[in-house]
Amino acid sequence: MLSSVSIIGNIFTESGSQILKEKTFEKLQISRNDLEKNRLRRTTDKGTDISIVLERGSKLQHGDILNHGESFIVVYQTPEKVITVKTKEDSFELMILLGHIIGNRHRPISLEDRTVTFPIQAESELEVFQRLFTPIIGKIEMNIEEKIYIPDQRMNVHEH
Amino acid sequence: MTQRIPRLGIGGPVGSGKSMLIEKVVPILAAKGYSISIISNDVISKEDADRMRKNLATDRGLLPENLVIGIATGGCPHTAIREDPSINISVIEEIEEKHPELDLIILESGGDNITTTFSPSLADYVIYIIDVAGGDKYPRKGGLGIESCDLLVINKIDLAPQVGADLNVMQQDAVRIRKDKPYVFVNCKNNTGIDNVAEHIIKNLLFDSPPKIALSDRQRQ
Repeated sequence: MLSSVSIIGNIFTESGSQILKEKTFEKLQISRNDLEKNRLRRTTDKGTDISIVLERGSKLQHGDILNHGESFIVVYQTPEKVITVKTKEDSFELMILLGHIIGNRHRPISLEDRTVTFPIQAESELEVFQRLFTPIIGKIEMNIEEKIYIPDQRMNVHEH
Repeated sequence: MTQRIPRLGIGGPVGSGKSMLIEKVVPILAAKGYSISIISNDVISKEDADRMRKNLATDRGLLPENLVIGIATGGCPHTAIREDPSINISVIEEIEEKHPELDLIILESGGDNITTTFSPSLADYVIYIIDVAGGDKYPRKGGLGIESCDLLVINKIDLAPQVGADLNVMQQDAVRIRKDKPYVFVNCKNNTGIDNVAEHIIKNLLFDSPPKIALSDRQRQ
C-alpha cells in the first residue's frame, strides 16, 4: 500500500540524530539525480511503497529522515563516480583555465582544499578530461573516486 | 499558491515517436478520466503541437484545443527544458492557475541528442524514447537521456527484422545500463506496449490517484 511521507529531519544534525536514537528505520537508496525531484514514488529496502511530494524549491538530501507512521525511513544517496582535480600551485591563470574547461562540460562542482570535484558517467571520461586539461596537466593531480557527491549549490547545474 | 500539477517530460531523438506516443497514451488516460494538457517544444515549428491538437482535441475531443500548446524554442530545444526552462515553467504556471482541475501536464521536447534530460524543476517523471530503426546498439551507448530517465521506451519493434536489430540485445543492454530502472518495448503503430507505458505513468507519476473530476461527473457536465 502506498504511504505518503514527509521530511522531519536529517541524521547529520543533532536534532535528527535524536529522532532516531535507539529506533529502527528503513533505508531509501536514491541517486543524486532523483534527489532533485519534487515528486517521486519509490520502494525502501524493506519493500515499503512510498510517495514523496515536496514544496517547490525544496528537495531531498542525503540523510533526510522521513516519517512513516510510527516508524522512520532514512534517505541514502547512491555513490557515483567523480573526478577530483587538485591544483599544485596558486596561479590565477591556472584556476581560470580549470574553471573554463570544466564549465564548458556543464558539470556541477564542489570545492575543498584546492580540489575541485565533478561527476562523470563513465571512467572513459578520464581520458577526455586528460586531453582537455593538456595545457595545465603538469600543474594538477587528477583522480577518479566513487563517493556520495554533493555539489556546491551555487554551482549545481544539470550536467550532460 | 496554486497546486502543482504532476508533470511528465517526454524526450528523444527526432523521429523516435514522441508525439505518436503521446497520441497513443492520452486516449488511454482520458478513458480513465484523467484531464491532460500537452506542451510541445520544437525549434522553429509548431507542427507536432498542431498535429496533436487536431488528432486528440479537434477530432476526438479528448481535451480542449487550447490545452495543446506549441512552443518554438528558437534554438537547441534541450536548453528550454534543462538549462533555462523558464519559458516552459511560465506556460505551466499559467495553466496551473487557470486549470487546477487538470491531473497531468505532458511536456514534449523536440528531438535533439541522447543526453537530453529535463530539469527536475520542470518535469517530475521523464520518459526517454528511442526507436529500433536506430540499431540495436542504441541502449548500450548510454547517455544521460537513456540512463537517467524514469522509463525508457523502445519504439518501432516491428522494424527489427528490417534493420537487422536484435531485440534481445536491446533488452539485455537496457537492463545492464539502466540497472533497476524500467524499460518498455512498444510499437506505437499498432499499440503494442502502450498500456504498459500508461500504467507506469499512473503508478509512478500519478501515484494511482483517481482523476480530480470523476469520469461520471465529467460526462454529466
